[in-house]
Amino acid sequence: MKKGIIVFLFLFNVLTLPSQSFLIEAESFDTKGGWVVDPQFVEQMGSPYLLAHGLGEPVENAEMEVKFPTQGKYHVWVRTKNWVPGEWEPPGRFQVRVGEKVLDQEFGVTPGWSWEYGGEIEISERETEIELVDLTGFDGRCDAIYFSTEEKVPPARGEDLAQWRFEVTNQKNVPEKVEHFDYVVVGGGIAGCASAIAAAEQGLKVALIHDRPVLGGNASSEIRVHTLGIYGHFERILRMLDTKHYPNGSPEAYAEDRKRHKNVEKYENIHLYLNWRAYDANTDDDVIESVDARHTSTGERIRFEAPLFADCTGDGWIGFWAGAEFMYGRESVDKFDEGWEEFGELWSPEEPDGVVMGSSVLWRTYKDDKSYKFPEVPWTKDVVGDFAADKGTWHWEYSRADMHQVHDAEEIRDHMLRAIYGSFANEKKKPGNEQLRFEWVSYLVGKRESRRLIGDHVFTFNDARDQTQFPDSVVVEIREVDVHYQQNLKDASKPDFLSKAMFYKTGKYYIPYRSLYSRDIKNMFMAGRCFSASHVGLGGPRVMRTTGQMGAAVGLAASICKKYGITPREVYKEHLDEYMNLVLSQNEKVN
Amino acid sequence: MLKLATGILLFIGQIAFLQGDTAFIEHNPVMAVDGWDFSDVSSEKPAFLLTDDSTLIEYDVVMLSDEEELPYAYTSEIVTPVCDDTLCALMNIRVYWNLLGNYVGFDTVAGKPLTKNDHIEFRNNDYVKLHNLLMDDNSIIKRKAKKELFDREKNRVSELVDAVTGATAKEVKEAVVDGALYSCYTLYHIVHGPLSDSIQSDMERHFNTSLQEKLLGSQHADYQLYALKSLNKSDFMSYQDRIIELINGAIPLNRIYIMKKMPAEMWRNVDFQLDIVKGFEDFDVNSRTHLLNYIYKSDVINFKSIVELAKYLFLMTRNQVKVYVRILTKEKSKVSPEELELIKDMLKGVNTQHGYLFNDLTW
Ligand SMILES: Cc1cc2nc3c(=O)[nH]c(=O)nc-3n(C[C@H](O)[C@H](O)[C@H](O)COP(=O)(O)OP(=O)(O)OC[C@H]3O[C@@H](n4cnc5c(N)ncnc54)[C@H](O)[C@@H]3O)c2cc1C
Repeated sequence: MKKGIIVFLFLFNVLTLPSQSFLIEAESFDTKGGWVVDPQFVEQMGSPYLLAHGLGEPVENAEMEVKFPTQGKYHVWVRTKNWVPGEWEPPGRFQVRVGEKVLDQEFGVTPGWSWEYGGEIEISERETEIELVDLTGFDGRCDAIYFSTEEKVPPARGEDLAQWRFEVTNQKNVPEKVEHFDYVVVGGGIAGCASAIAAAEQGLKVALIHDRPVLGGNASSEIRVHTLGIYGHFERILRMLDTKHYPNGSPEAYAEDRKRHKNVEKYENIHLYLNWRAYDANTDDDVIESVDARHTSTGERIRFEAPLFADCTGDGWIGFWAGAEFMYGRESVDKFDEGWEEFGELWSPEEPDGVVMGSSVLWRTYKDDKSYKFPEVPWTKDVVGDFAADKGTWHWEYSRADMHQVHDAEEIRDHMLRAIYGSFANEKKKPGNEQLRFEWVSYLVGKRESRRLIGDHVFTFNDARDQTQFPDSVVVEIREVDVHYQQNLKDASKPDFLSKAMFYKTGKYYIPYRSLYSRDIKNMFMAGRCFSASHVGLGGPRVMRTTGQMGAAVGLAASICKKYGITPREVYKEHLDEYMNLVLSQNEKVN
Repeated sequence: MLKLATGILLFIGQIAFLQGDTAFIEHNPVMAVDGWDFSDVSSEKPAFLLTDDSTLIEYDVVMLSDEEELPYAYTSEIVTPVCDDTLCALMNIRVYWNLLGNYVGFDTVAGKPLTKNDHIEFRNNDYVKLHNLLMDDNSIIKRKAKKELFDREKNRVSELVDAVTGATAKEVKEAVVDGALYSCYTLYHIVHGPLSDSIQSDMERHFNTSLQEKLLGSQHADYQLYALKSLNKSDFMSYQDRIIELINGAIPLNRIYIMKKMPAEMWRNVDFQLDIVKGFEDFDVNSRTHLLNYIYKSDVINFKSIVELAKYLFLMTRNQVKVYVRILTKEKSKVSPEELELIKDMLKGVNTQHGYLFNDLTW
C-alpha cells in the first residue's frame, strides 16, 4: 500500500483519542476483497457494515493499512453479531488478522449487535495491515474494529453507541460541506430517476442522492425485479429507465442498469450522488431546508440545501425525518370502505393492524458443468424443514405480525437468506442436482410496502375500482390491484416465507397529483411506493412504471414551483392548467 | 335445449330414494374436501335457478339439508359445452358447494366420464388434479381470461436465461389437468363464479340462530369465520367456551380475527386470559404476537399469565421477547425482584438467543 493512502485513511477513518484508542469503520476498508458494503440497516444498528456474502464459499479478505498511534499493547473489539443464534456453529464466523498474527478469537458468535472481545495484542510496528478473514461465506458481518490501550468495552447499541461513535471519530452530525440545488431527489429507484430527469429537462439543477452504486432500486441488477405497469404520459422518459419483461431475478437486469445509467448521466444538470445515504431532513416551520447525507464507505457528509425535495426512498425516510404524517399497516375496512368480500379479512380487516405486504430476497441458480458440494446448513432447518427449491420468485416474501418492514429489515433479510440457503441445500440433495449452483442471491431486501406519506388526497382502492377521474390526474394505470398475504395464515403448515396474491381486475384508473405531495410538509413531494395511498390503494400502483410516472409528474411540478416560487400545493391551486398542459405535452415528445 | 338435458340427466347414475314426498339421491361424491361427508343428508329441495348471462346456460341448484333440517350443502349437475379453438364437447359433472358457496366436491355422472382433448377419458389421477384445482379458491387461472391462458411471450427465449420465459404458461400447466385445459378452465369459472355468490345469498335467506350456532360449532374454517363475523362483541361473551376452543384449534386467520374482536372485558377476565396463554406453545408465530400485544394492552394482567408466558420465552422471537419485557415492566409492582430473577434464570436455561434483551432489566 502506498504511503499517501495511509495518511488519507488516517485522517478520515482512524482518529486518535488521548487514551490511545481508535476505531476503524469496516466499510472504509480500502480493499474490500469479496466483502460488500451493506448500508441498509444504518438507522437500526448504527452504521453501514461489511458483509461476507459468499453463498457458502468464504469470500476474499478485506484489507486496510492502519497507523497505530504508538507501539505497545492494545485490546481489540469487533462489532459484529451472530446472525443465527442456536445450537449450531454460528454461520457467519470470521477472524481478524493484525499484522502477521491472526487473532485466535472467532467473531460473529454473539447474538445481537455487540462488541466481541478479541483479546490483547502487541503492536510492534506502527504501520500494520489489518485483514478480515471470512471463514464460512455465509454472511458474516463486521461493523467496526476498535483498538484501545484501555480495557474498556464501548457501548453496545442505541444512543450511547451513536454518541460514543461521534466522540471517538471526532465527527460532527452536521456536515461542514453544503451544496445548493433547485431540487433534491432522494432515492434512485425508478421513481427517483424519472423525477430527476423530468425536472432536469425543465432546466432545474437537480441532486439525485442514492445509497447504492447502481440506480434502479428494485429494478436494478442488485434486486432484479422487472418493471410492470404502463407509461401513461411519460413513455419517453420511462423508456430510458425501465426493463424488459424478463423473469424476476434474471441477469438481463445488468444490461438495463447500463441503459439506465447512460440515460441519467447524460443530463448535465443532474448531479448524481451514488453511495450517499440521506440521514436527516432539517425542517423549520414545516419547510425542509436541507437534507444531510453521508457517503456509505468514507463517512463523508454533505448538506443539500434546496427549496424543493422529493422523497423517493420507498420507505418515506425524508418525510419521516421531517415529521410528515404517514400511515403504516392495514386500515380497517371501514376507514376507506375498501372491502372485497371474496377475500374478506385477508384483503382488508375489520380491525386495523400493522400488517403490510412483505419483502423479498430474489435468487437464481444454474447448472454448472462440474459437480459442486454445498455445505451443510443445520441453521436453516427450523425455517425450511424439508422444503426444496431451485429458484426464488416473488412468492418468496416475508411479513410477520411482530415485524416492521423498516425497523426489522435486517432480520427479515436474514430470515429470507436462511429460507434460500436451506431450500437450496434440500434441492441439492436430490439426485441429478450435483451441478446445481447459485448464480446469485441478493443481499438487499426488495421491499413492497412500508411507510406511506399522507398527501392532500389519499389514493384508495375505490379510486381504482370506480375509475375516478380527477382534474389533476397525472398518473394513469390499468394494472390489477393486487395485495398479498402469507400462506401460513390459512394453513399453518406452509413455510412462513411464502405468500399469495389476491388480484382485483380493474379498468383504467388515475392518480391525482394531490397524492404526490405532503399534506403538512410544505415543500416535499413523494413519488414511489411511499406516495399517499391506503394499504389496498397501494396494491395497484406500486409497480415501477407507475411509480416512474409519479416521479416524472412531480419533477414537472417542481419546475412550476420554481418558476413562480411557490409550493407544491399552490401548483394545484393556482397553476393547474399550466401544469396539466406540461404533463400532457409529454405525450407529444414520444418519438 | 341444454336445460332440458339437465333435467333429464339429473337422476341418472345416482340412486334415487323416495322419502315422504321428496325424492332425493344418495350423495357420495368421488371427490370431497377433507371433512366433508354427505351421509347425514336427509332431504333436498330445489333452491334456485341461475342463468349464465354470457352462455345462457341455466343451472338448477338444489339445497341439501341434514337430519335437523338445517341447510347442509348445495349441489347442481352441470352440463356445459367446453370449446377450444375448433370444436365443442359437452361436459357433465355434479358439483357440491358448502353453504358459503365454496367448493367441497364433485361427482361424475354415470356414463359421462370427463374427457380430455381427443376424447381420452380422465384417469383417477386426473380427477384428483381437477379436485385440487377446484379446491384452490385463488388459483392462477382464476384471474386469467381464456385468451390469456397461453403466454404470448412463451416462445421468447432469452439469451441469458436458460429457460423460456413462459413462466405464467408453466404455472397454468402445473395447475390444470394435462390435455384438459379448457375443461378445467370452464369448470373452474363455473364453480367459483356467480353460482358461488348466489349460493351464499340463498343460505343467508335461511340464516338463523340455529344455523349460526351450527357454523360456529363447525370444524370448517370458512364456516367459523362467517359465524364469528356474524357475532357482535357482546355475543362473544355468550359464546365464551366456543371462543376459547377456537382460539386453541382454529387456523391462524380465524384465531387472529377472534383476538382482534374480543372485547376488553374478556381479556380482563383473569381465568380466561390464563386459558388463552396456555395455548401459546401451539399457536403460530403471528397469533403469538397478537396474544402478547393484547395481554400487554389489557388493563388487568394476571400474574399467573406472566409466569405461564415465561415458560415459552424460548419460543419467542426477538420482538416478542421485547413485548414480554414490556409486560413485566408494566406489572413491576406484581413481580418481586426474586421472581424477576427466577424468570431471568428460566430464560438463561432455555433461550440463548434473545436473553440479552433482559440484561438491562432490574428493579
Ligand atoms: C420480489 C418483488 C417483486 C415485485 N414485482 C414487481 C414487478 O414484477 N414489477 C414491478 O414493477 N414492481 C414489482 N414490485 C414492486 C416494486 O418493485 C416496488 O414497489 C418498488 O419499491 C417501487 O419503486 P420505488 O422507486 O418506489 O422504490 P425502490 O425501488 O425501493 O427505490 C428506492 C431507492 O431509494 C434508496 N434509498 C432508500 N433510502 C435512502 C436514503 N435514506 N438515502 C438514499 N437512498 C435511499 C433505496 O436504496 C432504493 O434503491 C415487486 C417488489 C418485490 C419486492
